[in-house]
Amino acid sequence: MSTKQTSPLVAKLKAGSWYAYVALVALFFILPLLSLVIASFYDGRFFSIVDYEFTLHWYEAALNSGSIRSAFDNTVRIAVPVTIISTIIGTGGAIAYTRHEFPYQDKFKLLALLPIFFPLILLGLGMSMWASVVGLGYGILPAIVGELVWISPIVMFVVSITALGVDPNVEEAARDLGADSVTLYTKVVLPLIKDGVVSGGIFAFVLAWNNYYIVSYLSGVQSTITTWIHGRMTQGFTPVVPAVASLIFYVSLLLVVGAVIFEFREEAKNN
Amino acid sequence: MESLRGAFSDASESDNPLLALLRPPYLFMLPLTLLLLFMFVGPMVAIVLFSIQTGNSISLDPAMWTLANYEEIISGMLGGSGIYGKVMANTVVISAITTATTLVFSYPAAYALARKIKRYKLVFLLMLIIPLFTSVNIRVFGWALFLVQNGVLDSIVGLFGVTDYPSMMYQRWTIILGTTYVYMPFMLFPIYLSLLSIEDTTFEAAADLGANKLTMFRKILLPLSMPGIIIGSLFVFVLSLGADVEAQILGGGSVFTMASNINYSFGYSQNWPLGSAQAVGLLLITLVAGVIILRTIDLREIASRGGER
Amino acid sequence: MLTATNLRKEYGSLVAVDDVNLEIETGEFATIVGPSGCGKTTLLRMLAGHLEPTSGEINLNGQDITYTSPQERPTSLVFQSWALFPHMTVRENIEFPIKTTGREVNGQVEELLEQVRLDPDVHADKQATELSGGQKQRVALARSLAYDPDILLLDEPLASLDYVLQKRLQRELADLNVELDMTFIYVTHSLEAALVMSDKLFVLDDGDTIQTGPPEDIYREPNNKFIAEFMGDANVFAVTADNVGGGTADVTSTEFERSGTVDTHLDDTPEYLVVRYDDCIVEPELRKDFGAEVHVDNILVRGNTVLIEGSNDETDQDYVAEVDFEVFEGVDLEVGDTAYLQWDAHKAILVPE
Repeated sequence: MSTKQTSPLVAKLKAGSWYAYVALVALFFILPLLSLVIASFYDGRFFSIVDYEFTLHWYEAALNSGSIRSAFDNTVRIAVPVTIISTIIGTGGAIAYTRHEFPYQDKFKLLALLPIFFPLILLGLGMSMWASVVGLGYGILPAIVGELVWISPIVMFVVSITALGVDPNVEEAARDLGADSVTLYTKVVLPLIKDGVVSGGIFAFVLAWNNYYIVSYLSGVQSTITTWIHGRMTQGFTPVVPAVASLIFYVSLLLVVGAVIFEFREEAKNN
Repeated sequence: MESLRGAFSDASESDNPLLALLRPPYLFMLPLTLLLLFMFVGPMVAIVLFSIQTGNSISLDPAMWTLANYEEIISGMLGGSGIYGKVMANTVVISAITTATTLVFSYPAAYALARKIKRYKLVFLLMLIIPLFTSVNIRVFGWALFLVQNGVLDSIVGLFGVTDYPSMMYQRWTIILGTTYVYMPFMLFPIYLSLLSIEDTTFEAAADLGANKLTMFRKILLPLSMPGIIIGSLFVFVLSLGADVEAQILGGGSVFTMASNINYSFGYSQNWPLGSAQAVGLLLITLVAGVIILRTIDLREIASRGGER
Repeated sequence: MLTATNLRKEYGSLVAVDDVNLEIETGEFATIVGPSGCGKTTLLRMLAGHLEPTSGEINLNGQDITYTSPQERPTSLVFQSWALFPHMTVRENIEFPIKTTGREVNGQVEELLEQVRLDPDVHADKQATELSGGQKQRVALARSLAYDPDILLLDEPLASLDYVLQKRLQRELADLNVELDMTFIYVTHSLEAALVMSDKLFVLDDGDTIQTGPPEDIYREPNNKFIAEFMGDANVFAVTADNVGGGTADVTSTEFERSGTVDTHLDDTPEYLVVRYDDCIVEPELRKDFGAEVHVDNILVRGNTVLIEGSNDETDQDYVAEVDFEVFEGVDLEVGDTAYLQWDAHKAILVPE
């Protein structure tokens, strides 16, 4: 038995230091995003905290610029179909993998989840050569197909986690009670994995919204917000870039916070 | 009996394998499988095939194959004359340092999140997750805004009267800061998940048996979190081998990495075969690491831990 | 009547169910009992239609249903995990099979809930996840009954409930079987459950039925050593038998004293003598037909009865008796004493290996 006595003060300090460390890491994680937002509202070339000059001018400029508008449009035109299609086929993969048994199941999992672990630059340049070889070409459609390769597996991963938490016998029970395939999937399986599908869909949109590498290799002459930002970044500082990047970030922030709170609310309800 | 059997025959019993593809579970996995065969396996095969093509070809010609690209790269690396050896060494060093720093900084944070932090946990988790869902471009750009001359950092240290200090941008360590930042979530979350699965009673039992803090860490915490450490390290190492934007923006072209070299071969010099030959190495490493990670990950286990978050 | 003929299931080289034959009358409560891994769940899943047999035939009232899909088959399975639909209320769960079979929902939910002894006013509109284990079991039962099956299949649905609740639900299931005049097929590894509820027992081991019959018969006349041991706590001694025939055999053993004639229901030459713990007594003198001198190692008071465990160094065998508490008090036995564990010839059962 330990004879050491820790005073409540020391215990508090210890607990506090864990909190302090995690807070520091969290600060590190959001520091660049914070810098971005601060810079986006700053009116001037040389940055100063002391006499911060607040302006919405850059946001105005961003929203009024034709080239930025068309980049936004392209981003949406890619992200929306990617979200819908990847949610459907990723959910399909998850249902097949988690709720069925079939030959070569492990091989299917390996193929289906492998793209998640690939550096995006590798996926992007392989796809770019492939698009030329098979005549797919470059533009919005090839960019959609390319992003699907990376995002559908992520949806499958997210939905699988939910689907594995469901009693493995419910399908057999439904069959046993006379359900045909349509009833089985619409009344039992899909309602049970709904939460995973919603989170997977939100993540799919945010990832498609933010994708740079695959789009930059496949979108051809069409620029999206991320390729537009990249182009401007490498050409030196343009004050409108932080505003555009911030706009992208706000959308992501809203959706991710929404998705996470949605997940936790469901969990709190279940416990 | 045969006729009855036919009448009641289960769908999966059908003799036509093509029709079986149109029923669950094959119906569900078919779109994803086709997509990945076409746009994932295909492109990866393209990289390998292009790496043995001659000259600046932009189409595949089976008759014209050569190992010249590999010869150029390997002799360049062995001779130490060309840029390949240096780039390779640079990249491996950056990736190794990144793996080490992310591990050192992630572990205590993952431990605290899994076992010590109860209040505001959701807020902390959110702050750690959000960067994962923000374009790598935007995040790296944010660092540039922070570090650049007359940037955010400048104005903060200026408050304390520090005006003269070495430039923070375009250094090798700036790239490492960038890769550490970008890939740290891939270290933190696997370790966090592996630590979550350890039962509280395991620690209580160890304490009961007289284990001190160091023994507890070495004999219990470390072995039990080893899967998370391995997965996280493979993740970070492989992904930072492919780091490009970090080197471009934060390194300002002062330091070349494998990815930026490959990118250069494709973009500026339009030499697909040479770029592909360099990419094949990265592809092989990624493939091996990916398979190891997927064999180690047990989705069922992650699913059962979800409730404990 | 349900019959299964030479029903077989192979997984590669592994034979899970090895040419099993079943014959179950309409309205009967049949129990398939055996240790875990004996193939009983595989057998049940083939009866339910969730698994196709490698060979053999399942026949219900003269119709071959071997390859009928579960949704077409007039059987309903109550799962061990109950498999209630967690996103539905109790009512929606029970209405599910009514709707899939195209029937009108018209008061059946209330009726069924009362049948399984749940108050519809209290429970019908609860979410399935809000119920206790016992309530879930009852709802699962009601849901299967709502399918209006000819045969109700039950896969150890009581296994995860506490002992007292198990006992009560066993009785209720037996009553329900009579009340509904529906065939029940129950799978369990628990012998107690099998004895309480069943009309007919199928003892399964290694994928094969090794004995079939009313539970009393199997309890009294087990076919072999495995069943004898499985059916209840018993001492098993190796014996040598002579003059086997005409329903008796003369036995001697190195593991107990005296030899004598014992009744046997089998024609095979017996190799073991089985005597249940509660058919033995322990007394200082040997006065029954058979017995062995034992050193008393342990005395466990179990309420009304006392378990006496002894051993003998020469035979290297353990001996156990379970005696009434009053009888035990009369003998005045203590740990460390030497006494005779003994039994009468008519209590002994002779079985082959």
